[in-house]
Parts: sequence; C-alpha cells; structure tokens
Amino acid sequence: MGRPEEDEPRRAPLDRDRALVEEAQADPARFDALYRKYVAQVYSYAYYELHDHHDAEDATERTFMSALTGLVHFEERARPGDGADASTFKVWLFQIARNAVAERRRGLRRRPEAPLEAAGAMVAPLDVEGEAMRREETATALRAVARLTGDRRRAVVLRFVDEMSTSEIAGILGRSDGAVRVLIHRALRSLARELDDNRP
Amino acid sequence: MTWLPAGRDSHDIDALVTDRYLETLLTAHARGADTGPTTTEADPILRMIMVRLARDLPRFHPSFRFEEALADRLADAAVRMRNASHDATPEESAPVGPTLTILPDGSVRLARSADLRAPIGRPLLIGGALTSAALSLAGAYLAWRLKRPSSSPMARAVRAVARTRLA
Repeated sequence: MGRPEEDEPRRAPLDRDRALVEEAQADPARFDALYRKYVAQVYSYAYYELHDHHDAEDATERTFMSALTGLVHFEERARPGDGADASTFKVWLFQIARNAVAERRRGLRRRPEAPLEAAGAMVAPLDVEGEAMRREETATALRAVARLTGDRRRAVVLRFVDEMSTSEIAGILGRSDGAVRVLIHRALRSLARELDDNRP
Repeated sequence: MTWLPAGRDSHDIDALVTDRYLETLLTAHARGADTGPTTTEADPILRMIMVRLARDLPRFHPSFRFEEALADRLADAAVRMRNASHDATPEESAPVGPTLTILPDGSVRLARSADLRAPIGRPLLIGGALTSAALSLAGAYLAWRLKRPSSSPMARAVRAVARTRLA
C-alpha cells in the first residue's frame, strides 16, 4: 500500500497563477486578482510599444477585456523545462497584449516618438543635479531602446523591464528559447554601439 | 573551463553566455543589489550595457484613475458574463463584450463590439494634469474611492499615498 500522497494524482506546480486562474474560470468576478497582478506590467509593455499614455491605456483595456472573455478557453501548457516559476497565464496574457498593441498601432497614424517626455515626467527628488544626470541617462537609454527593431525591442523590454525569463519571452514572441537569446544578444550589441556613439 | 554545448555556433554560445550573465544580474537586481555580478565570461561592454539597462529602464505605471475605472468595467463585464451563463441556453447565449477568436498559435484576436466602447470616456488625465472641467468629477471620484474598502494591498498603499498628499 502506497503512502497517501502517492495515491493522489499530482499536478506539476508549473503555473504560479493556477489557483487564481481556476478561481476566475469558475467565477469571472474573481478575475480582479489576476488583473491587479498584471495590469502594471501590461500597461508598461504597451507604453514602451506605443509611446502614448492614451494608446497604452486602450491596449491595456483591450488586453484584459479579451483575457476575461477568453479565460474559459485558456489551457495551461507549461513544460517541465519552464521551471517552477513559470506562468503560462502570463505568457497567454502577453500574447493578447502583443496583438492588442499591434491592432492599436495599425489604427494609428505615424507620430513622433516621445520617450524623452516620459523620462521628463518623473518626480525629481532633492538631489537636483544627480537627478538631472540620471534623467538624461534614462532618456538616452529609452531613446536607444525605442530605435531597436520589432522583436529585438520587445525582447529587451520584456527581459529588462518586465523581468521575464527567456522561455516566457519565447512563448510570447512565438520563437524558440535560443532565438530569443540571440535576439537579446544582438539587441545589446546594437545598444552598445548606439550608446557609445551618444557618449560626450 | 567554460561549458560549451555541442552543435552550437559562436553566436549561440555568445548569446548563451550573455543570457546566463543577464539571469544573474536580474536576480541580483531583484534583491536590491546596485552593482552587476563579477564574471570574466561575458563581454565587458555588454555587461556594462546590461547593468545600465537594468538600472535605467523604468517601468511605467497606469494612472490610479485608469486602473480603478478599468477594474470596475471588468467587474461589470464579469457580472454580465455570469448572468448570461445563468440565463441563456448555450444556443441562445450572445457574446458579451468583445468577440474573441482563438488563433492556431494559441494567441487571441479581439474584435471590439460597439457596446464595449460606450461606457468608456477619454481619460481625464492629460499629460499628467487634470483638465478644469474634470476637476470636480475627479475630486468626487477620489473622495468616493478613498472611502471604499478594498482587500488589495496595492490599493491600500495607493490610498495611503493619496491621504499623505491631501494632508
């Protein structure tokens, strides 16, 4: 006779959002917990892509409305290699966000990119001189990232800002883990050249 | 000795080394370290760039007003979904909110329905400042929101900051 825990079917603890997802699938009113957990990350991703607060809000709204109505169709597809911290819900959510951003972008006329404004809007602490230098460094980094091409930019933002794993980014961008590593590596090389050129 | 997986070209290996450094850097960064890990493997120029990006790239946050307004709209949509699933037979049930198509790659395409847009006004926050016409509305909303109980730690933290500012 086996021990009690051996008799019960065990589910691999791969998706850290599984409990929240199952609650929301059973009762859509419980979706709020997932929304609160990811709204800032989705918004930030959308803002990096669209460079406009209103557009980022619109894409964020579309993302969560789609996720709410589509959650019943969501299936956990984490692989053992994704690690204990994997969240396939997050990957699925960001796939929706990527589509929402693309749809929003298609509906927009081309407009000047303004990452510098975002950097300028940050609250200044008491160290005015230090903060001015810091702001300029941030603005330079934002401009350089904004100039990266499509998936290179997305991969860098998802890795550095949203702190996602290579596997999660691969799931979102529909590429292999190796392809994402190469994307980021090339993006960093490109940024190194760009930031070196901007050095006074 | 450096571990080199078989069957990979130099780009893959460089990318793997960079990725390994980045993983260590972001883990240290999450713990609050302000300097990058020391290693002789990764390219020093790329190491400098990675440290700089981890330090300088900000995460943008939505406005409190937008976050709460969208939470309310999601809650309304959830109630409509729950009611629709109780009231209608599967053949009768009409789609609530946006029409959704699951694509073969697992991604989802949204076709926005007209009724979804109806309750959504343009944001009152324009370039970080409230318009004068929106000021009283926003004040009333803020007063209501500050009194509204919430179990969310983030909501409590935001309200605490708002109270400090009002004081």
